[in-house]
Amino acid sequence: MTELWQESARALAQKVRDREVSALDVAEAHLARALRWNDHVGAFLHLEPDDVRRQARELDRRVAAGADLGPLAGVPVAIKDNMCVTGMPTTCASRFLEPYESPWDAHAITKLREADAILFGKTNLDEFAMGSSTENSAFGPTRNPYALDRTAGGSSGGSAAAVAAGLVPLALGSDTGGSIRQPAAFCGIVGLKPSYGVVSRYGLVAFASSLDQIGPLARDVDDAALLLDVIGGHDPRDATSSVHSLKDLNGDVGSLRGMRIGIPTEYFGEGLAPEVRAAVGAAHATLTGRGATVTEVSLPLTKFGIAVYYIVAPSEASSNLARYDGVRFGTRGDGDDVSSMFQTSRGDGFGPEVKRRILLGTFALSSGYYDAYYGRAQKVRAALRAEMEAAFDDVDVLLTPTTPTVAFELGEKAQDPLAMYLNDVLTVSANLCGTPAISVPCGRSSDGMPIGLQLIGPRFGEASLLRVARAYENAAEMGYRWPAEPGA
Amino acid sequence: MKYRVLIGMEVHLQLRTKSKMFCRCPVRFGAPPNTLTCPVCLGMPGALPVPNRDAMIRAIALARALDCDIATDTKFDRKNYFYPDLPKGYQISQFDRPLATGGCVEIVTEEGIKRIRLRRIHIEEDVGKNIHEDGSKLSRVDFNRAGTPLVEIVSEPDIASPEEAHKYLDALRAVVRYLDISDANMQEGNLRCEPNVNIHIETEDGVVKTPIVEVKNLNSMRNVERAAICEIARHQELYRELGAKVADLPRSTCGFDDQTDKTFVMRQKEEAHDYRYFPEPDIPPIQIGSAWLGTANDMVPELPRAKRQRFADDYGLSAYDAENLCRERSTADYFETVVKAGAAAKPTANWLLGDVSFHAKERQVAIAALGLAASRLASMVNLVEEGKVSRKAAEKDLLPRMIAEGADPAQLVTDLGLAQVDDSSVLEEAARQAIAQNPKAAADFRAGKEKALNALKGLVMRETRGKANPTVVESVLRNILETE
Repeated sequence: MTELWQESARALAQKVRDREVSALDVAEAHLARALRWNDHVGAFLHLEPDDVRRQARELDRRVAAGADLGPLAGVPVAIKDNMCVTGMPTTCASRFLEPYESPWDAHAITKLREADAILFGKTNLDEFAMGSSTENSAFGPTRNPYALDRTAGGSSGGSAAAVAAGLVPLALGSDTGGSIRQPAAFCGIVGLKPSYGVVSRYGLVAFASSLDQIGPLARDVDDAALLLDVIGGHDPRDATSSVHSLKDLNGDVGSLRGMRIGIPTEYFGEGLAPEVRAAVGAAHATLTGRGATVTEVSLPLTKFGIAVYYIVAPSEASSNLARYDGVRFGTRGDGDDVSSMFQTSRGDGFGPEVKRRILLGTFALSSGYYDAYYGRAQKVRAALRAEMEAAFDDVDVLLTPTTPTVAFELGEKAQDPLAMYLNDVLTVSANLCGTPAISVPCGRSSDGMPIGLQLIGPRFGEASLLRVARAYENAAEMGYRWPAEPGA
Repeated sequence: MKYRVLIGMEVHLQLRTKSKMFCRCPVRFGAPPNTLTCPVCLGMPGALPVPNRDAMIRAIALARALDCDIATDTKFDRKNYFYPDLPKGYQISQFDRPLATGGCVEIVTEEGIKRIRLRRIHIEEDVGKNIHEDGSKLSRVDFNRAGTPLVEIVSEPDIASPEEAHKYLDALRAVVRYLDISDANMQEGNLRCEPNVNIHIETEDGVVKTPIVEVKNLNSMRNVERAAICEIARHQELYRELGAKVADLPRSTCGFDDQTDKTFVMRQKEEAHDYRYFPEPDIPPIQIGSAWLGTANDMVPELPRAKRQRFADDYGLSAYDAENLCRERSTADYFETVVKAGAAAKPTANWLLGDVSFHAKERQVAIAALGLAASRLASMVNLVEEGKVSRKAAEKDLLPRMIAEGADPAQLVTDLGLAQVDDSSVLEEAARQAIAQNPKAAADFRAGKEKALNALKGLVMRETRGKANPTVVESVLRNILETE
């Protein structure tokens, strides 16, 4: 028999709407599992069972009163702890914000509440989303449910681990350079970074404003589409929010006849693990079998992506994080005067990776260096975007691996920032170009670790991206493999 | 010492909009601390700025009124620095693509009209206010002002004297008030200015330039002028001390103490502060299209310069009167209403700039806000012009009551018995009495002393309690003295 915690979000919402189960039943099933698992994986930074039960009971009262229910009725959704949620802390996994509680909800959270979702808790991340392993969390790392000595990825590692282990069916992550897709790939689930502007950033604590996007993590493509449908849409409080509306996110699978899939050769270069190469290669065949035509394309500027990303993102971050000065909120350090108070607040409040990126960004924006670094990076970014757009004249989606390797061991790259940064090599282009990209599980390594493939679409091409992802998922028939019980 | 003064002016002007530049908090002066704030203007985690369209349009209207080139593509940038009153750790401003460039402010000098060229106009947000308590180590911050829309207007160093600096600000403020986009009040801080002053000294070995000094904390136009005078003297002094080496001194920032009437050096900057400007990623670049330009154009009324010219041409006013009437748009409009109500232009101008202006200053309101109905003022002006009431009586008895009680001047003349006596038969009687009372004055006049007539006139005026028409009195007296 399928347990409630194994169900998809779609099935759970349907059961709650049909009064087959109560929202409280759903909540209890997930709470029991989350409370058992969390000590082992460190997925949640905040999990308050009574608050979850209170929300579920309130929803059940509305069910009883015959209220119209939203598309996520009773579905537990975990939220990366860099989104503002009233009634919960918003720490960004930083000492600086440890005492901080936002007095207002992020736009995506308002949408979740309107959809009758249960806000299940806040998940772990690299401090201020800066990292690729969740090891930069001030409150301890998240572990991979499939191998507890390995990383769940990052920075949305907590959200990915929670979904993968069945602690929640859905989670929100944020993706600045791969922070949804990489942990999704490492944990064997689906992670979608929408086009820039599709989901309002209002209430997402900014890391790099021109790259950040909120997106869904789920165990299958349809659940990811369902969550995207709920949180997407124009928001006047975010000036970069698009008025473009996404349609047909839940369209039929059908055939892929006429769909043109491009394989960018630059994504299959040096450093790609043979098992990953093989798994993604097998995916070509599956898609061709569904009627798609697969052709090689070339995106020669891809190799500059990491360099551009690690100029643009830290530059914006150095400015975005200036507000953490100890004056209005968060931790205030001691000091004899204003300037020493700023120094201790920030010096004690931020971890080493955050400081490293603030230093990088401050340097890159400095007068005399701006043209050589930030200015040039913006020019290359524009060229990268033009190259990507041109590629979509010939193909509908691009197919690549999500990560060069499967999940690495905790501690393996923690002392080597450059090796850690290179882990983002396949994902940053989508952020720099503002295009949507999704990671879908495409197999396992010999030691049982998940492998993900990445599909990249043109800006606002979410519908066709999801269509291909869904078709692949159906054809591959991999099913979902649950992780072994911890300590078993 | 032969030298030339160069002053460039940086003016920050708070726009009077309903809401702040990047959030919906109201813009208001004097509310209890931190009551006009929200997550955006407090810079809370996750908050995002959305530009205020109204503020943009007001700034465009100003640029239009000053004949600037308005950018078709503009953008916001971040100016990064740490200060407790700066909530986000950066100010949203404009760096390399300002809203407008070029343009000018016209001032009237003795040599005629002078154009002070503008370098640029850009939009930014105001910061909060640090409040330091005396004797306490504690400082507080009030963020009510944070996020208020500001335009910065930067001039070229075309201002050649402290007096011109004053005139520049006066002229700029007049344009701003005509547009009705800001209160432009220096005392309340919604117009703030920082003159950049230096002098170019002509020497035998060429021109020696003193280092540019920026003067801050000036709260009145008078103080701008005083501070500039003070700086010019200090620069001359420095040159006398250091000679050509004065040019090697670093640029500095000064404050001004209006108690001692002295500037003082606050800090010297070896090099410009590194604000690490970069494009604001939270706000996409902005295209200024015809819709915004059209709305902004509609906001630009007839400007002081054009109005002054028209007042001089159409009403035959002196340049001085026209300039003073046109300083405030409401005064100029009021003047025209009074004239339309039938009063002659010149005497109306005299009344407005004289007694009416005195009453307005006393009550600290604009002339148009005195509550003096234009039709009543027109009828008073006419009563005086037609000799039906004396100027003195109008000044002393009519105008104050018209302002205080809204009284009708014609009615007051009747009620108070102020009607001027110009019946020569009545006045002849009084004139003969006066001659009888002061035969010496009569004799003196007859002997050719013109001035002696005044004593007799005075007697007649006293006798008629000031109601006699002085022109008629004079002619009656002359008639008697010269013919009898």
